[in-house]
Amino acid sequence: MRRSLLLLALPVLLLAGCDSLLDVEPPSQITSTIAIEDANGARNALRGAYSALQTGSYYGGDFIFFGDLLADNTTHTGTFTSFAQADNNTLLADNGSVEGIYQDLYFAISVTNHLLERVPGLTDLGETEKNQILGEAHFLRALHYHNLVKLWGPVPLITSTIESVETASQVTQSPVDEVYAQILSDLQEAERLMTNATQTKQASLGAVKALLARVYLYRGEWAQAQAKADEVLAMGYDLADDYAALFTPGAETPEAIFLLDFTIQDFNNFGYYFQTRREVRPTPDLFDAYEEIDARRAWSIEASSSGRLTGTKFPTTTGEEDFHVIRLGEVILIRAEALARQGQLAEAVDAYNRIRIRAGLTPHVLGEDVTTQQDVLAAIWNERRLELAFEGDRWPDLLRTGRATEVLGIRECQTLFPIPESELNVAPNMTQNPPC
Amino acid sequence: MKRHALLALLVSLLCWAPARAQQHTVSGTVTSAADGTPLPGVNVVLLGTSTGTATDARGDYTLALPSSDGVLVFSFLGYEEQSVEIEGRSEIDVVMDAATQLLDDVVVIGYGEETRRNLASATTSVSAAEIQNIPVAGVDAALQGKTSGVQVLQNSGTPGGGISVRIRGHASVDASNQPLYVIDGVPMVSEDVSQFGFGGQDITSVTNISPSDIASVDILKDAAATSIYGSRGANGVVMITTKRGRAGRSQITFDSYVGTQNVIKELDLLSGREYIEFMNEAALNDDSDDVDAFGNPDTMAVNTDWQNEVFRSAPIRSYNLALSGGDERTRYYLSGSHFDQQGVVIGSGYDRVNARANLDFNATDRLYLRTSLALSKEANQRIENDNTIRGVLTNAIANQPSVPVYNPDGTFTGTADGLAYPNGVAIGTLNHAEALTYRAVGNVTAEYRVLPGLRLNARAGTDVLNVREDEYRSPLVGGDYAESVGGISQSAYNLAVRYTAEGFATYGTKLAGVHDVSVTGGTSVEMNNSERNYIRAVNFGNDYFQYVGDGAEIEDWDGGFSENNLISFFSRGSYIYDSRYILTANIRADGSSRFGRENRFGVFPAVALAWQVAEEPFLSRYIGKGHVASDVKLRASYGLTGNQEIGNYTWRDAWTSTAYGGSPALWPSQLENPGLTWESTRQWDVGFDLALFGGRVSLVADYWDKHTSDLLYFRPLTVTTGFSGITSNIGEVDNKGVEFLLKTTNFRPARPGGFLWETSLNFSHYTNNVAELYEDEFIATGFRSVNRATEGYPLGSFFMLKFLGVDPATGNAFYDNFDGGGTCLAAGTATEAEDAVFCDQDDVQFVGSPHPDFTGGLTNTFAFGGFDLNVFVLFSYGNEIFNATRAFADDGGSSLDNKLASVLDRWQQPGDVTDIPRASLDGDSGAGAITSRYIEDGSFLRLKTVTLGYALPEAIAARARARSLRVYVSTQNLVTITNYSGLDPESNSNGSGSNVALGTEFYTFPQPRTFTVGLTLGL
Repeated sequence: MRRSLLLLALPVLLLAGCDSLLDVEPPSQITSTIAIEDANGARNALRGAYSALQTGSYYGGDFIFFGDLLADNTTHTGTFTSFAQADNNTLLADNGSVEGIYQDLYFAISVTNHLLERVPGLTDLGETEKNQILGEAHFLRALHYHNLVKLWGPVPLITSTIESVETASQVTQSPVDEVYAQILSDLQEAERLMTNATQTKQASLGAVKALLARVYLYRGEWAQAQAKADEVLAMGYDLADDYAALFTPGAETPEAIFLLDFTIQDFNNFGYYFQTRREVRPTPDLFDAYEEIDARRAWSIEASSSGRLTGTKFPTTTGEEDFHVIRLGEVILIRAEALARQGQLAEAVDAYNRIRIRAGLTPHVLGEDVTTQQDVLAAIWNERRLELAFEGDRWPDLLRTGRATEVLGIRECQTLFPIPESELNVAPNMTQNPPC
Repeated sequence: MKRHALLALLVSLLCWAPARAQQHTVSGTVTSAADGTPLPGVNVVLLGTSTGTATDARGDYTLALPSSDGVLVFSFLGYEEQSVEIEGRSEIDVVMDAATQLLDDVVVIGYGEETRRNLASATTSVSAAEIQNIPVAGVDAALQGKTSGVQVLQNSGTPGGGISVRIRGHASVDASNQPLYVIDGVPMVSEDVSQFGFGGQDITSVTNISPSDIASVDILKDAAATSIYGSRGANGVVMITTKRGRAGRSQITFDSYVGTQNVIKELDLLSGREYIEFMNEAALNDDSDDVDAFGNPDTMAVNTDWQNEVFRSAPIRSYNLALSGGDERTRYYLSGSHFDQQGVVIGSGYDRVNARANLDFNATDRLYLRTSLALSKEANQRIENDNTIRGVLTNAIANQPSVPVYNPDGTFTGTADGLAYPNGVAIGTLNHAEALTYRAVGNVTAEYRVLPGLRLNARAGTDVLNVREDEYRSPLVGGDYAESVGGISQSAYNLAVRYTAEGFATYGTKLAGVHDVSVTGGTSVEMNNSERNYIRAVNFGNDYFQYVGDGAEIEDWDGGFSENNLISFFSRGSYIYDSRYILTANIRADGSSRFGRENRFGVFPAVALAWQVAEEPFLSRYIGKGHVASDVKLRASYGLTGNQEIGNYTWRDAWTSTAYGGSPALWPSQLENPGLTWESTRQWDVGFDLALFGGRVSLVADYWDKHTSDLLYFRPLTVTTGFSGITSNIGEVDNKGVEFLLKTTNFRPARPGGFLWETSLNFSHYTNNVAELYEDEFIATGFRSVNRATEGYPLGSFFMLKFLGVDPATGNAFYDNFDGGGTCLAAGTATEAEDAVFCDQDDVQFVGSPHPDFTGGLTNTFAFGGFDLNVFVLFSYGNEIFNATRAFADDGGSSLDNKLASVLDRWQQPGDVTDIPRASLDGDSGAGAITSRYIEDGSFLRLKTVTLGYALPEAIAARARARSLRVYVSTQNLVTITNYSGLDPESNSNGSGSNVALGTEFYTFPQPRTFTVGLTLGL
């Protein structure tokens, strides 16, 4: 009897401490207020900012795929509708991949904004490391905004963390020039703050200068592009002897400026989509653009006996090879173009011949293989296409040089990504890029 | 205390001894209350013994008994069972009432029981007989079509697969819409806790109960019934009561059936030659130089029937042994069962072993203890399904008929041999995936009678659920990711535990003979936690090594812990005046750890009124016993319930862990919403219960209206914030409907073994409307985002381009230009017309709803002699299905997939009038656009179950020392009448967890046609 009364008392006893029962502390998460409260938190969040580049929508997949798919390097052969639209240059505003890229870019920006707001106030960080962290955050934010502006044109410029849900919905686009001004100011700040010149899996001073060179090229500021490229070249980087080494897991090359550290757990989708899913394939047009003896074709494209092409540039289907965000090969081509644009054709040909020679091709001779400035530029652009194939550069490059409509036979209205429909729905001050 | 109990046990054992030689004879006549005529064939049995007889043609009986005390039990089909104390009498006449089962059943409600007569709320009950021996794994599937207001959607034919159960519509957009399951008074874990996805079809935690252990299922529908479960009541509550022992001779019941299952239909697809011809034409239409791009059809000798290769005839069997009995002090129900079902698609299956011990113990006159304990082990053999490129059935339908299953050397073909996708036969044969669920569900209840009418109850329950999953994907499946990494093995483990403790007091009394008052009040605490981990390895030496530990490299892992707690206070009061007026009121206050500190507690009240018209004296001339309408009850209720089925930490501001290059990292993951609280549903209900012709006709009908507001809704935010949304209480969904359950005894036997015919018809209709969402924002989800939650339309409505036809001149599909008038062409359609108009997003329009206009079930039961025949028809009318399989199998040739034979009627030359667009490899005929071309009428009428049984006469059975013996043959899904062109109109490719992505069939595993033979033996 006593025992059964005890049983009756059980729930009453349990309820005695009831309110505390409702205070469950979640494991595996912390609040934003303590996320970046010390040096360790800052380092963790900085790595989080790099992890944000690795998502399947961003440098781990779609952002890179679309850079070739919208252009003439790859074609869609799988089941993804969003990829089919990209291949046909008919991106709709509800394209899931476009939504994903847009979202992941702003997510990555938000992590850098958190760092830039919180890290200056930390007291347990040495000045050098604090500046390096802030410099990397500035660099990454510039990289993200450049990626946005090259695909969408005018985009919202967000440089602080969310204040309130209500004010956030008032967001509106900033003109392209303002976005570029922010990019340049971030990069200049990064250049001022950063001291690390050697690391490659996080941003270094070399990465800042290389991105500056790229941004100046996009802005048509040739002298500055050349100057920054020269500064990078002076830092001791060198081309990899073997093109294949750039994409082989574990192989380190002197060409690496900034690459993303992919592992079997933290993987990219390239090998899987190209070789297993066969979601995309190289176009015959790209295959034919290479010379027979081009080492880059041998590495990047496999042609079966029936002529079926498979992209093999990224050799692991587990997606564990690192991915170059910017490497010396591109910087050399930036320099070549900047030179050519300024009429220094001989220097320009010399510059891009380094790339040709590495690919096992005969160097161009000015006056024979190329003569006019237009020839040289065309050769450089072709070299960019071949050198950076499947690295997401072709589409923005065609846009940058104003050749997209001519090369792809598309209309001007097809050159900008649509602002995602879902975004327009919640941000009424946003305007859609002009549809066709 | 203990000594008393033992003594009691001993005494009762002694009572069983057949030592007493005294004889006593009882005789009498049994008559019908309705007309006073004698009733022949009524069973008369001395309670707790096998001593018994039956009345003769004049309704008379004589029975020799060992003593002059005891209880006689009179039973007869269609009449209410009666128990009469002998008290030394030698003549006992009995008047039997026709069973008005609907009105006098005992209904299990939350924290108590009530007779249906005294119930003012809308609840419905399904008896054990209605759900037994149906060849399905779970009680949820067995409930399909059995009663009104409960829509059971068989998502697929996957053995042991998840089932969508919707009680009175679909209220929630982001939180769960599944009902709360309460077993023997304790809420059970019912969600899918497996960690591996296999496409749309999930598994469920509801399957662990053996249907043969179930005594009854009571379904609480309106707020007056469900608000006692407060924050979890909004989706309805399924109260499952398991069988318990009764005082009397121990009874052994053995139930078994064995059978075979076969697919009902295969899709009519192109042959190898037809496929080549079609694809050649598709290539030629795009480029007139491209002749025989897919080869010469005349030399195509291969014609693989892939469906035939993956479908099989599959056995199903079930064995159940139960032992029950006891005495006044101690009673027991013990059972063990085994259910084994292989799937009709290779590689799939489900196997379950159960054991149950339910014990009741009257410790003293005042203290009553009961325990319910169930142990089970389930094994699901799983295969990828629905929307996947690694499915067995999916790939069997998708792959080309022009490629053989095997290479000449006997190995499986793969993508390297020309298949568009990995070989489905290889997947079903070489890959293995098993989910093992070990489970213990139990509770102990103590009831203490303090005073007459006042009882205290304490209950402690636990539900321990352990799901262990292993999956191996062979590198020999050519073209699968596993091939490129040397095989994949993954292993996952999830231990989910729920503890429940509750105490409540019930006081009931009758004042001045007419005021029936009863009050229940109590409190409960529920603690849930789950701990999971997962690891995945790649690269295996060969197929002999299949466990994760045999892999050369770890590819992925996960692990974590999660918990949530609920504390509650609840009360119910009931007042009945003179059996005529019934007033009940419920209230529950729930505090949940899932919500922000500011808004943790919610209060859920409800009130119900009922008028027992037949008891009204001034109407006794028109209604009541002896009148046409023997019972009439009018009911009305109103109340509030909630839904808290979201993640455990959804309201919190959070940064979570990630990694970069093998080093730890952090990033933001969630915005804080400290005010997050319940989704709440207010519901009113009016209804009536009617019994006519002495209970031969009964009708229970309800009209209800549910308004759900403060939806737990992932409100989308501009992603420039770094977040895609924030879970908020936003939005409103309305559901309203009518439902009825009609039971009739069409033919009643005049004498034993005569012809009996009973009918049960249930009908449910609801309308669903999304009344409000955030700022006109809609949600688009499902395959190709065709399902929408958007204001003014039913949840999950299909929004697509509207297909109008095929242009006889060009063979191009054309669509409705919704915003501009006229027609338009799908983007990418090849046209030479200068003024061609292309469809854009503004032309996407409402083209159908996945919600049926009505659903129901019709059961006819016939009995004659020892024979019984049960015919159950299930129907659904007015729902549309998105046949997503056609997005590839009828896309005009833009994918390499095999095509439906219907494409033979395609447009081929100018002038052809057809609704199948021309073939095009580039997809430029507009055929492959996801449009209303793929929306089909999903109405169906299905002869779900036909069972013919024969029960041996008891006298003959007794000669074999058996209490009873019944043998039967049964068939499931014998006939299906539908216009739907896919494999099965009962499909939901997104599984039971989907709230908006409804009504899609996408290579979905169809239900089989099943034939079983079975027997039930009572000893």
